[in-house]
Amino acid sequence: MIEGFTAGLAAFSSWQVVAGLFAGVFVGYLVGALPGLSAGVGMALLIPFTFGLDPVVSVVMLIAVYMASEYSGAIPAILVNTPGEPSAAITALDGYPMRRRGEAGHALTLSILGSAFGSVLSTILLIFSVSWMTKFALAFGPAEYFALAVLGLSLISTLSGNSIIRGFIALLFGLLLTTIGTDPVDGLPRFVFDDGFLSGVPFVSALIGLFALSEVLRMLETTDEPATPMRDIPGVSGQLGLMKPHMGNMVRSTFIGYIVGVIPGAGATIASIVAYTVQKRLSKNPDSFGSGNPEGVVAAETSNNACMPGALAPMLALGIPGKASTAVLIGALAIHGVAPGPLIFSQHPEIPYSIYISLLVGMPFMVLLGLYGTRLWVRLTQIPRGVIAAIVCAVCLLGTFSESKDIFSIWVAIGFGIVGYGLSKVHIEPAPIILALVLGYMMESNFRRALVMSGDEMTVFVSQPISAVCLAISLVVFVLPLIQTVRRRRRTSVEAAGYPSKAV
Amino acid sequence: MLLRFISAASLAVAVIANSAAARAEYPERPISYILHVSPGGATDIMARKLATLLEKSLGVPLPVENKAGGRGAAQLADLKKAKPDGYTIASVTSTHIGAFNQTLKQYNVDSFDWIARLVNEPYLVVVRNDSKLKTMKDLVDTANAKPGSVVMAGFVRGSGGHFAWEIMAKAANLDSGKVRWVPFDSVGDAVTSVLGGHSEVAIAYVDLVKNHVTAGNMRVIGVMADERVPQLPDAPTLAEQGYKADTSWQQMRGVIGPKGMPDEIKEKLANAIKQALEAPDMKTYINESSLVPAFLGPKEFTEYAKQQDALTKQWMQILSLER
Repeated sequence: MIEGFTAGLAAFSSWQVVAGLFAGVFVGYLVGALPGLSAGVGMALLIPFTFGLDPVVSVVMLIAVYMASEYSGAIPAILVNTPGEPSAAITALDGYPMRRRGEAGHALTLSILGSAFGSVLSTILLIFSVSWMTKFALAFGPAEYFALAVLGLSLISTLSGNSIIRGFIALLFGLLLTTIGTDPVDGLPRFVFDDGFLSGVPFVSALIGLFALSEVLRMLETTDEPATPMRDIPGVSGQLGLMKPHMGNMVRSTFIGYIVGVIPGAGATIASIVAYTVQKRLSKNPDSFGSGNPEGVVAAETSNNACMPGALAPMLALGIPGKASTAVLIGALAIHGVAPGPLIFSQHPEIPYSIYISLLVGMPFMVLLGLYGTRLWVRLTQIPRGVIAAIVCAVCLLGTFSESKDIFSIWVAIGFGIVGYGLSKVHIEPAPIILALVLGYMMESNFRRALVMSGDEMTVFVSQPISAVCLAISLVVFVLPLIQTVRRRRRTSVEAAGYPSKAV
Repeated sequence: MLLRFISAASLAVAVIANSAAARAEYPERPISYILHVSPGGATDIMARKLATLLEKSLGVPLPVENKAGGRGAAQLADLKKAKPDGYTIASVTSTHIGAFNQTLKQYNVDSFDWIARLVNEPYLVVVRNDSKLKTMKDLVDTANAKPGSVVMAGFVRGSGGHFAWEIMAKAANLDSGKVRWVPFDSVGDAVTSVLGGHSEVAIAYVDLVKNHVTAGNMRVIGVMADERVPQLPDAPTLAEQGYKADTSWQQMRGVIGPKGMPDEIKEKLANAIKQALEAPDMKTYINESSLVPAFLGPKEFTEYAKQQDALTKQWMQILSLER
């Protein structure tokens, strides 16, 4: 390990590597803040520029883009309810209500510092556990992925705000949408009326439509409303002080993010959802989640940034691209004839170690950019709503187009915008739909795969330890909040009966 | 309008009068190169390398456009709309031919002009190092002795890898239904499933497994090619083990264009591509990615595509009869 770090540090003595790191953080900051332009697409767009670079420079630059964009996805999520990255949809649940209360500066500060904490601690975990975490990553087969998806979906009863029934309606609507596309086993099209749906409902279009465009429509309802008052942001040291009450939350969320990140195919969105619901269950104040609880912002942002070093473990040690972003990293290294996998630590130790160093060294730079950026971003809340609505609309549609380079995806986004607006009128939130879109395909394809493997033997899901445990936890996680709700309701009705004066 | 007509007419005259002159004129503006994959993958990287080399030899820019989605649906829709003037070309792989017979039935081999084949990738049969299966014979015997006990991982049913296995099973006189074919979202996922011990066997490519083989995690028990692969000198071919499978069935990458391109332009492009494949930079890449150089010009490539299409149709029929 010592020699590895020496090789990595030696690489950092070249100015190109340092310049690549800074350029990457800056580009990533912008990529993340632009809705629709996800980390993976942003990194892929940079690939042609890395052809002529040294492999270390290009990997350090791309890692910096990855890291910074996972953070800055929170900025539009908090300011305009528009997740810049899919995982920031969870950040928006509490970040946007905070901004509406005039606490944009507070929410942005929590998101940058939570992200930074998650990244650094998770990188340290990565350095020490990369070799044996790969065993954990490989332990996930079809039965385990199915159980994991069920676990994710069972969080719905915690995630849906006031009405569990409405949460279910949204979840089932989302699951229904995931049946559109190419059948995962037979490769035949299913409910595909346009070739644009062959790979399923375009996720980015759905995300942008449900969150951003429906918000734009809501903004149009109240153009005359005065801009939200701006509260002062404390100095940088005061900003650091805001994190004190969240230490336990951040450590927990980092571990959740790291472990979910290691599992190939599970991503930052799942990590944020899990960390968010865990925090909600542990919180002294669970009812305020969804209406601007800072703990929610910290949990979501810490875990989605902690997810990223986790994703690097199977990529480096096994050459498995668990996510779009790590697939791009593998591609970038392949250009230079470096193949991540079991041989990389012996053949090219400078690559993994310069990745570790860039994650640690890039962080202070990202924090500074974030903390000072916060001061600028908060001013956005002073712009009249009509102007904001127009800008959000344009940026979102452009982002949707940049993802697929297809006009069709814009129509889909607009369609989802209208659907999302309609659903908000009956108080159905978009988050459970996103949960279903992320997990529905994973659940179905792995369920069927597991059954093909076992020869239609259903016991396969409970005979393996990981899947059995996941399914047991999901049962508990699913039922517990339901019981609590029923009890609370009974209690309030008893109280109402006992003290009629209070009920009025 | 008039000017454009005159220039078009004069170009037409030039083509008829002197094809050499026409060849000298093409290309005079950028050629867009539409890919069916998102940026960063193996097909994308190779296409970008090719574009850079073609830019040098043809003297015009070759902007690469990524139109991923629907196993080529987005890309082919664009290509179908383009004029067959040589200023729009596109990537093609064996997956396209599969899709023509499955999800994209509105197209067939005759819907496009086949310009050049670039490389081939042979299919391999791989197992984890601790597997009891040491040879193809072990695989066939185990499947025959205990039908359903061998789980084989690969890409979707009807993909190139799936047919490769069907072709191998036929060569071994094995009822392919005795092995459980489990379709994964990508060949890479199938390899991961074998590494994790969830599946016994996978149908894969050299590049995906060579490092695991070198590191001692995996073993190749059969190569579906005429000769051993240089990167895996210890892996025996199927023929060496006595199984005569059709080795022309490989994963191919090539370049196509809209239907009706002039022959001179196709030839000019194909020649430039042939040169590009010979460039030292490209040769290193092809070698490092464990691909097999397999250039074919327009005529031979069209023949090849038709032959692969016929084979695909035949297997589609056999498999749907089975179901």
